[in-house]
Amino acid sequence: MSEAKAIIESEAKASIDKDTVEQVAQFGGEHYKYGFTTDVDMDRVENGLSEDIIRFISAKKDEPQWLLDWRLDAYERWLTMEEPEWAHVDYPKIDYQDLCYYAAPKSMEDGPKSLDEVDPELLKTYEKLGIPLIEQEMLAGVRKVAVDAVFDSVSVGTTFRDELAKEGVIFCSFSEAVKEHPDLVQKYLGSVVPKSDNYFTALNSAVFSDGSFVYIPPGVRCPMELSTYFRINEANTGQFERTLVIADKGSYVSYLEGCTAPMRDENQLHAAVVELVALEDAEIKYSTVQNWYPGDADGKGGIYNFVTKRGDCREDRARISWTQVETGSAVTWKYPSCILRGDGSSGEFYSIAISNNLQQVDSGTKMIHLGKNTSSKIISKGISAGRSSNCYRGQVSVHPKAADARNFTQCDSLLIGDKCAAHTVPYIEAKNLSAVLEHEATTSKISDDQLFFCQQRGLDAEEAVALIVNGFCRDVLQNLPMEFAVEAQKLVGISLEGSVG
Amino acid sequence: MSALLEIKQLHAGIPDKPILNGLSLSINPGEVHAIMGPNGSGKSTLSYVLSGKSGYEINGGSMLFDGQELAEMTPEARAIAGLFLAFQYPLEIPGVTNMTFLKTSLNAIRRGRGEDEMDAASFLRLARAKSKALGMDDDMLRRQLNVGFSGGEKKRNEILQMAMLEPKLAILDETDSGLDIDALKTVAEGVNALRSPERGMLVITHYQRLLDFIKPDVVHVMAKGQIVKSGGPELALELEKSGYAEYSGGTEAPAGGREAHA
Amino acid sequence: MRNIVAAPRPPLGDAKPMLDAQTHFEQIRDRLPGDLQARAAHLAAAEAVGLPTRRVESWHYTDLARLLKSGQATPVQAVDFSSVDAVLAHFEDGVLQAPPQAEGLEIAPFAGAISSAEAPSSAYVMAPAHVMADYNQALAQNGLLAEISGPLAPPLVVRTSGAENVHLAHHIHLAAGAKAVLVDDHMATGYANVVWDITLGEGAELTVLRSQQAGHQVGLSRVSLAAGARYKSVAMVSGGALARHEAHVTLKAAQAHAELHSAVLGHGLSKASTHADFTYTIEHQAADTSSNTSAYNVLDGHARGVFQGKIIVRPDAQRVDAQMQTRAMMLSEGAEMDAKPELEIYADDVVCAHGSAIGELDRDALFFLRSRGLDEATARHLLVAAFLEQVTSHIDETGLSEIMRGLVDTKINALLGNPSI
Ligand SMILES: Nc1ncnc2c1ncn2[C@@H]1O[C@H](COP(=O)(O)OP(=O)(O)OP(=O)(O)O)[C@@H](O)[C@H]1O
Ligand SMILES: [Mg+2]
Repeated sequence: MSEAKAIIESEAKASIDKDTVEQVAQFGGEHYKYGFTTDVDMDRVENGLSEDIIRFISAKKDEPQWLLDWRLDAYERWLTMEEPEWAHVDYPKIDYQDLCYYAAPKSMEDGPKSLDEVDPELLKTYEKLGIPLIEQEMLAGVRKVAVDAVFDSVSVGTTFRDELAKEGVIFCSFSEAVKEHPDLVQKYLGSVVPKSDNYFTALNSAVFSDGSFVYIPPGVRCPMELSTYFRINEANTGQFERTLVIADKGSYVSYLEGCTAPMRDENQLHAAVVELVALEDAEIKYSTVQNWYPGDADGKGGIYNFVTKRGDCREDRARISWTQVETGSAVTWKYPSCILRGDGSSGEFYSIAISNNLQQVDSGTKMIHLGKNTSSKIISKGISAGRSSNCYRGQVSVHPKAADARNFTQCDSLLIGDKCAAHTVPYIEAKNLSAVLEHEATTSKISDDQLFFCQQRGLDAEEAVALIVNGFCRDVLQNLPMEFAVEAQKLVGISLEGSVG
Repeated sequence: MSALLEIKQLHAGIPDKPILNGLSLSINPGEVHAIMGPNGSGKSTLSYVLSGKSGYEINGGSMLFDGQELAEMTPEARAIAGLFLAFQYPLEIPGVTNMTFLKTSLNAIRRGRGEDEMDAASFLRLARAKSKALGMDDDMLRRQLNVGFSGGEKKRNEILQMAMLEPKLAILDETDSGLDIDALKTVAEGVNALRSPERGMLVITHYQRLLDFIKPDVVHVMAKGQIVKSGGPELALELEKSGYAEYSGGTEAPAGGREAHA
Repeated sequence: MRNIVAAPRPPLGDAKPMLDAQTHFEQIRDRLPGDLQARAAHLAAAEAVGLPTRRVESWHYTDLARLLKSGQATPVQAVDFSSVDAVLAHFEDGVLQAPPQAEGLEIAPFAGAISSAEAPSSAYVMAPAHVMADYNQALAQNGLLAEISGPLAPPLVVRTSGAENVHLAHHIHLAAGAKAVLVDDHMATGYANVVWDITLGEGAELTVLRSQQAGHQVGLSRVSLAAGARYKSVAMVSGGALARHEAHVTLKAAQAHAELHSAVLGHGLSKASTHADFTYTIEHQAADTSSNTSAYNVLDGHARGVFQGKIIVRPDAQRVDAQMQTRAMMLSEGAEMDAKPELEIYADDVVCAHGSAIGELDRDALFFLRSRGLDEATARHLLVAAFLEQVTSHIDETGLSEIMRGLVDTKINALLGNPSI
């Protein structure tokens, strides 16, 4: 990184909490600004789940036989499984036969060759979401971000592909990867998250429609941030995307993911699977800003976000870092995890989970230490407001052969108001003598004195809350790529709107 | 000349406990007033009631600041109007740097006054200059607000905020306690630098020493929620010698403390 | 006081009748006091659920069925309480040797209580329902029904010994303002299912010191605290194949305070190793209540330590202060520690925290001590003793604290050898 870049980047980082209040003030009053719907002609199958639907999806995508068989096998297993009930969340039973498993804009039918051919209505949607699908440089020429935009069941387009291809980086939609890079897909698909890992992965494996695929060749440092922007638009559909990121030996990639959906009164299901594979000396940074529609103040509507994310540090000295800012969704069930298989590999999990109104979050991570000298770090900041419930659930497990494993976990909850709940459920398992595992958890509230102090210095109550909460989250915010850090900061303020009287 | 702060017969307290019992006090622009008084006499309460901390009830009287009734304003509106309180016990806000806090506060107040926000570069310059004048190094600006600050550092940090915000009326609640002798001088210099014909100061202290550095125009003695005596700087010296014994009986304390001065 | 050495003799019937409670019931039914029909109903209820498996969340780390098949009945030395003038309630194979007598202590006959209409006494039967408690109610052949009305001067020692499989149901009630120290001295080598129902009236204070040296124990304490009551439990597991110590502590009114401290000195290889499981639910139902929990585990051989502690703060239970600490010192390859310290918080103005640290014996400290001339064995002994002292230091009663420290020391000597200190 050039010095100029470094300076600008560090300034941007320093601004992480600096600008919060201004931004919050700017967005004040505006609640969920991504709640609009896009009106395009859609191609959607009738509701319901069956072998036929799976064959239909597979045929739509022109898939090879092995993938269809893979899907059908997953479906068969799913039929024998039960929806998990152990999480601290409570929602009405989902009728899986009353969901639509495939919906795509008609205009995508003939597969536009380039972004220029994509329906302008779709492009406008992304522009409105702040994700222009043109190959522009962000932050005045300092950094570029390549975007894959997924709209309901299909990828609408991917930017900067040619430039990435020069470095040998593959960044495309999942469907395309199946066609263009079948060997890689077949080798790695399901190798981190087995089909029948849990109820939702089995469902996803059976019906997944699209998603992003990334491959970084050996020794390559990906020249720009890669990102996928997920948008649910259609009513009554589920989104089941699949992301697969492979960092070959000695490579590096930073990947960002954002999600939004329209405001609708009924709940919608999002059950995604993300698999990361880091080979020897490779590093993957994966960041998520999850801002699915959370439902209204009375808990009506919102996304059920049941996601399985797992990274495999498959070889020595591989590194995987998850950062998540979870502010949306009615119900979140999500545990981005790391399997520390290679010797000297490391995993990190940084999380901010905010719940307001009637939102429910059960989120955390698993750090599975298998190799020698592996280390992991967990920093989780849960903020509950309104009548919401926010649970951190995390597992740190050191297996008998994992000599000299290290873990540090810091898990803090902040309660705003006396009607919300905060839970912490860590599982700490040491089966090796030399493990050093440290875990700390605290709960606190925003004190009236802190609020008054800020007010005495001119801030109003909501600004003060946003400032204090951003301070509480600082350790995590600092870990986000800067484009997202600013976005995340705004979200922190907005999602807590109305939480103080 | 109309008073900057005009408190008349103020009765206030917490539910079921009156703390201020008909307190009157008037500060004109350009004046520095000192309040001294035994522990628990209500000095901090006065500062909180003036700045609008919740939990206190106002049961009578009035407090006009620049002609505006304070009781009807939110704490931030009072701050925007130019009232500054240096807390006896400054608060910590983990994760928020001192710099961020200063900028946020300064811009909130400028915004509130309809002024332009300060750009990053000028802000940085200003903050550095002010902190340097107070003998604080840059590191303090980067640290989290008051987290891990020593008692004296916290107090100094309050004065830095005051210097940045340039309030019309500054209330300093025992800003001297916990300061070493050099810090006391620098803090006093910071305060004196702000003295001007438009500004007023209300300095709450237990020690004459601070008043050697910040020369007050008027000294008040507060006991049992009232101003029981007012006088010139010599009153502080007197108190230093004789203590508060004379005032702690308190039943027949003179009503109100407004005596001719200026 | 006589030192009792439990004679190793074969348990009743099948080697592990607890795996077959029905058979066990048939075998001992003639000896069971009270309403057999009610007991049969409890048994049916329990059997319908069955022994908890690892799929039951709170038993995830304790595989009961497997553990009941492990271990061997090694007799142990009784703890000598003669220096503190204790009153003794000694249950040998479930038979109370002599009812304890002391001023302020009233003992009701177990048989009488259990056969009465509201057997054993509905006031004592507290939530939560628990399958092991159902087994206990079906099969309890004895127990101490104690009413403590004022300050009880001598410590009350409840000793459990013998090799048979026993079910004991103890009910301890402290009236308002009463004070007592209770010692639960568990040295039975068989299987024991022991339920303690403990109620503390307003301002009552109870200290429970526990020691388990042997056997398979599934213990459950249900403790409820009225306003201003204080409960303190200091437990020490130094042997046995299974030590499951479960506690449900409910703080029902302001100023109630609970403290639970545990020390584990686990050892033994494979099937003869110690499995010590402390599982707590501490429920703050009322505002201005507090709790403090600590668990210190020293794990050698293939010993396994489990600590599960859940702090619940109910809505409106403001100003609760609840702290929980878990520590484990791993001494050997093959030892295992599982910790699950949970918080479940429904009120905002609370100070709740938990911390957990698992690691080896501190190498730096070891080095420091050796650099000051201690040999390695002595240094290790010192560090382990210092670690467990964090628990024993909570015993305020002078005589008893010496006895417990003595016990810890003996066990550390047995484990690490007896260096020259
Ligand atoms: N929130 C409160 N709750 C209970 N008592 C209060 C509260 N605020 C003030 N008081 C009581 O009111 C009285 C006045 O307190 P205050 O802090 O104003 O005194 P002070 O003059 O500033 O004392 P010091 O010199 O020690 O700082 C004291 O008796 C104090 O205990
Ligand atoms: Mg004061």
